[in-house]
Amino acid sequence: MKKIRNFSLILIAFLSFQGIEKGSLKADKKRKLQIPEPSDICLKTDKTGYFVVSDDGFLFETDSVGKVVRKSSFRGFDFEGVFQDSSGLWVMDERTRYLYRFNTETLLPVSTVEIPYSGGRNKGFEAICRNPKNGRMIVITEKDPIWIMELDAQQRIINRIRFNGLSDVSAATVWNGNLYFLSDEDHCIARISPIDYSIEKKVSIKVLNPEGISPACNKGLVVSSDDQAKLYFFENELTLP
Amino acid sequence: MSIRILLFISLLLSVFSGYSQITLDNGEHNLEISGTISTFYNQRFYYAGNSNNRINNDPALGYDKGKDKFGLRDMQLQLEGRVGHNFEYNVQVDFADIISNGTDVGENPGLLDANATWKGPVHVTAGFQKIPFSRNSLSPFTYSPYWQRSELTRGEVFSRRDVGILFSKTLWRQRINLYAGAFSGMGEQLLSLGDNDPSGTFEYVGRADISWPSRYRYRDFDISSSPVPMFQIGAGARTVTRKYSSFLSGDDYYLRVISGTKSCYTADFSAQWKGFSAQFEWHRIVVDPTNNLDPSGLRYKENKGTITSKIGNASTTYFLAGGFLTTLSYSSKPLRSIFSVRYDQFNPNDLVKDNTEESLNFGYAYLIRGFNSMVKAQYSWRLANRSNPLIQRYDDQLRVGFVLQFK
Repeated sequence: MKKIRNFSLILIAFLSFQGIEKGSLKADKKRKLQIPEPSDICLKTDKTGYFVVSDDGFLFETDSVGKVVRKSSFRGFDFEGVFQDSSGLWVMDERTRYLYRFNTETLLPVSTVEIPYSGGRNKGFEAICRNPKNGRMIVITEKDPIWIMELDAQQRIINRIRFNGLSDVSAATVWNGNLYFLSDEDHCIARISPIDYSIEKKVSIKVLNPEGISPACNKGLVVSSDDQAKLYFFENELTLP
Repeated sequence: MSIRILLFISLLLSVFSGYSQITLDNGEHNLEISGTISTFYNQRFYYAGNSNNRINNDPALGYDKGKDKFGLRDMQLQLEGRVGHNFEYNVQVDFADIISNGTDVGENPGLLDANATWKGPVHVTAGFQKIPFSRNSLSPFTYSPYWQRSELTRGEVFSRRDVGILFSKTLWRQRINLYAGAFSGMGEQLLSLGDNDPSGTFEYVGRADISWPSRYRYRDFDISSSPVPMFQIGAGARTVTRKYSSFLSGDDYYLRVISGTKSCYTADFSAQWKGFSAQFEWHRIVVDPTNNLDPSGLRYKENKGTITSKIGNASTTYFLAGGFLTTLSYSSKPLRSIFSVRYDQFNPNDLVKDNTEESLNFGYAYLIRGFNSMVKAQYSWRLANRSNPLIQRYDDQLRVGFVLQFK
């Protein structure tokens, strides 16, 4: 009996140790989002607000605290990635593998191309941004497996890299010239080398189901939670750069 | 035994990483193809004090070791389609169970899903589908370190699937799930029996659950190590009135489809945080049997129930069955492992004394690539008095094997 008790205590101590997540970062601010199942967020190029996409295939424009300003009348199927730079406003549909370029005035698509990928419907492209080093647009599959695909100016795949550092990739962004991936299952933000896509640094975040990441309007990063429909602002403590 | 285990370990080592499923899409119609293969080695540890594990049930003869075997549990193929925004269909077949001629249709039907859903303001699903009653039953088996569900929820006590129509609705950002449906009441047996019961009545099922602080999928193991505590509570009920009972080979308790009225109630609680998870599920079944015999004597076998003293042999109009299961688990990302222990308690008839079955189950899974590729083991330790002839399961059992999912 004593042996069983001692074994149980050792087991509990071991499992408790395993369960502790060190350095899990809490957000400085939270904001409710009136968008169901927000799946990605990006900073507008004029830095006055954000574009947000949702699982039911809608594109929204919000102000700096996440209040919806406009909603696109166009409906896709499962928007999972959004990104804007001088080349346009880009939206990725995970289900159809369609990459849309939207007109920022009308919030309607002006071009649509298919990025071919035959993996799982719900394990397709979740992230889109631009590699800050080589200037190529990249789209990333969520998991099983994770592929980083580099596109040329006509959105054709010109390079694909297998990525193994995270359980999944739910979003990507560029902040202060660095490339960042967000992982839903690992609950972390990782700084990624834009040269070989290796992980340079990782920090855990205390956010449930994080699906979108973007530089914030003022300072720091903002992370959107799909299940919680909230924005989490990391302004002060994030020391990744 | 040791040679068999060594052989099986060498088989396990040949398991390679799982692959993702394949998706076809034309911009409107999306078809996803996935599947599961799982196989195991089963070892029984025979209890000497019970003659039921001997050849021909003769204590003078040796143990019947027919359960020491390799087994193919799953060979499933699934087609999931989505058409436009509002239509979905789902077809899932288990060839391993089809080939075995459906000898145990309650737990392992050859057809797992054949249904279509209209996703309007309320979702409407019609066809052969899982019945939304027990949370443990709704939790996909391929996301578990165990090889067998609990006695209560594995399909021996109530049907887990049936043909019918289901209405479902989610509220409060998917934190609340509501279900209501009407089914044939024959469960998985409808597939082999064909027609409904002569009464022509349906089984009515309802379930509601609520979770906090976000939606909580029907998963029992926190392999993503949730950074905040998550909770879910739920309850369900179902009732059906049959003219005749219908039993098939493989019935252990003769409770699946009974003559008369059978009402089932369940309540459940689930929680997870930082890899730790816990579930508790309670069941109460109220059976008011009529013991009507089928005149043909072919399709309905009411007498089987009375022979085993399980149904309606006492001077009361009803009897109760039920029990509970509770599971405690820990999922470790660094170790790629799930450790779990489950306590099952089940009483098939409260009018029969000393027939409560108890077992403690230990589950372990090594996740090679998440649930898509894993080696897992379950040891079932029987806690009840094994010399009691009313107990169905009295030998301990070890089952080790691998699961490969194309999902």
